[in-house]
Amino acid sequence: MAFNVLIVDDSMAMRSVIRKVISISGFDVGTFFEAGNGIEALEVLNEQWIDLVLSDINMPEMDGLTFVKKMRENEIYKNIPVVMITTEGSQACIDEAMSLGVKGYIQKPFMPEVIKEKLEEIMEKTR
Amino acid sequence: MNPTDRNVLTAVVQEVFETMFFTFVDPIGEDEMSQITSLPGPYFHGQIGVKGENGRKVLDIFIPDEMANSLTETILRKEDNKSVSKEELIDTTKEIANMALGNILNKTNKEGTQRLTTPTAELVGDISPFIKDSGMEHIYFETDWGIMVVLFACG
Repeated sequence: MAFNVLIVDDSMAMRSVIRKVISISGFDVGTFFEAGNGIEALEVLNEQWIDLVLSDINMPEMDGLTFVKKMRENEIYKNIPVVMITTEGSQACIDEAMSLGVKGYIQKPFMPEVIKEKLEEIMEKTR
Repeated sequence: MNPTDRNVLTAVVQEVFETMFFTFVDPIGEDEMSQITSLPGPYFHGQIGVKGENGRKVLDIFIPDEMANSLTETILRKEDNKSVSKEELIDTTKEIANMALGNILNKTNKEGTQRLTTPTAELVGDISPFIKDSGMEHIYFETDWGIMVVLFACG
């Protein structure tokens, strides 16, 4: 089963890194979609079928935590698994993300294996 | 800069470059630093701070432009062989500043409620006067592309 993955990060360099890490990890991706902030990400969710969201927190216009809150308010995509990939590492930030039901919290800089392991864990539960 | 802060800052900067860019940067000793009087550039200058708690923390990083080019090309690995744009170089510089200060906070103030500001970046020329007048603690790193400079203010 191929998964459609939405990468949300205001840095195009970071989106590129994440896309490459996932591509070489063997994770079965149908299509990658990208967004530069929460507002753009909600637009993608409205238009595309997305199976997994990987989101930064610190972004302009709409940050990652607000974006996930908006996701959870929507009946259609409230159950899509979300993994945060961010430099924000304070316990308060991690707790807030976890309270929103995110499936993982990965801090930058990250080893590629960390993303691979987290995606495999989610993939396993989805089967 | 006290030795502990210097060690944390050095380790964080090295971790960012090694983990994300597979690039090694070596800190230059303070004696050797004092002999470097000219940093003509051009450099990509990234800056980021924190908000949310009393006290000020600001990190400035000056990446030699050829280094920024190489790192960005490595990340984006363009299939059409087009050279990277200035916008892409600025984006990479901002993300490096973001990861560096974020990790300093993670290592020194995990329980804090501070949040990172939005990073900024620009292309600059000779940074010698800026370093001299900044009053900020700084570390020089030897790289394959010249001297990289990181300034950190914590008050």
